[in-house]
Amino acid sequence: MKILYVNNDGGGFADHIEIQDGTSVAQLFSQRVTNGKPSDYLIRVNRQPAASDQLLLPGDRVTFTPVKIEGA
Amino acid sequence: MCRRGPDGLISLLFVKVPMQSLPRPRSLPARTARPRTMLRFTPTAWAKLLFLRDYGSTEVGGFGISAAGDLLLVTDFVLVPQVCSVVTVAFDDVAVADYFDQQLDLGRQLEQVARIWIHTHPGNSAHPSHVDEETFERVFGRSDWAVMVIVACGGESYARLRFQAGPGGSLRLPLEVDFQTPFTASDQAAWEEEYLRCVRSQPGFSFPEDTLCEPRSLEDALGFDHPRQPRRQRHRLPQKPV
Repeated sequence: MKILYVNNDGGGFADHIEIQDGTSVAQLFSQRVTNGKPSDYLIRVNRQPAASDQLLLPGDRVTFTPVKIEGA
Repeated sequence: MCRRGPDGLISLLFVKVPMQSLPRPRSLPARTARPRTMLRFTPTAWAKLLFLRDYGSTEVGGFGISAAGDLLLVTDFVLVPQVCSVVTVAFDDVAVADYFDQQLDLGRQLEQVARIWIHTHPGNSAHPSHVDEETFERVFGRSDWAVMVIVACGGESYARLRFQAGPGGSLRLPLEVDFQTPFTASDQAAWEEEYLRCVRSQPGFSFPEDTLCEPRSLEDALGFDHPRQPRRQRHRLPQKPV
């Protein structure tokens, strides 16, 4: 199935990707983010916060965006 | 040149030749002037950044929007909802995610909207703090490239590009307002609305007003001498000494 995947790491990615049916948010994270912790990202599915065990559905929009952007 | 002598031996003769006829030991490519890498702002984007910097008494931060074909040309400065104090700025995590979604919905690429992190500093120093460095490393360190821009209240500015290509590295970038690019008129009412919508002051954290530096006027910040010099098309902004 296809989902829209958005992640700013590397070259920046916002495209449709093919994943296996039954893939969870946590599985997608481990597949796509090799050097990063989930706590460093806000993970949303269809603009809503997602649990790690949430199963993805065709057409979902999954975004991994950075958290704690702070300056001083 | 070789010559056989009367004794049958061959001797070498050295002949002076004009220098012009000697071939160069190796051919060197002609040295061409290479344009220096710099971060440019459209006048509108720069004016907006200074307006938002000076609107309140706190730091503010946001993202620079790059031109599609020229990623080091900032055409807009966009605030995201944030909590600020005189010396800190913290973006709202959900607002950052919303910002990404909105920009993608506008048809922009992530490299246009999420790579140039801009914030302001109180006082005269634009030098990054340890918090700035930590954020730049943690948040932007996984991107192929990113730029941290700091503009101080007193007018000093700082920009550093970090990149991952090859062994990776970083370099300071000069900042410039580019008057040669097309730009729109200022819209201070919309900028004010954006500030009021996005910036929340951290309660109980403020300095007495008289300890804050006086913001420079827009003319001063843009580098116009007095009287104004309208024929000047480009002006290098005040930089922090390397």
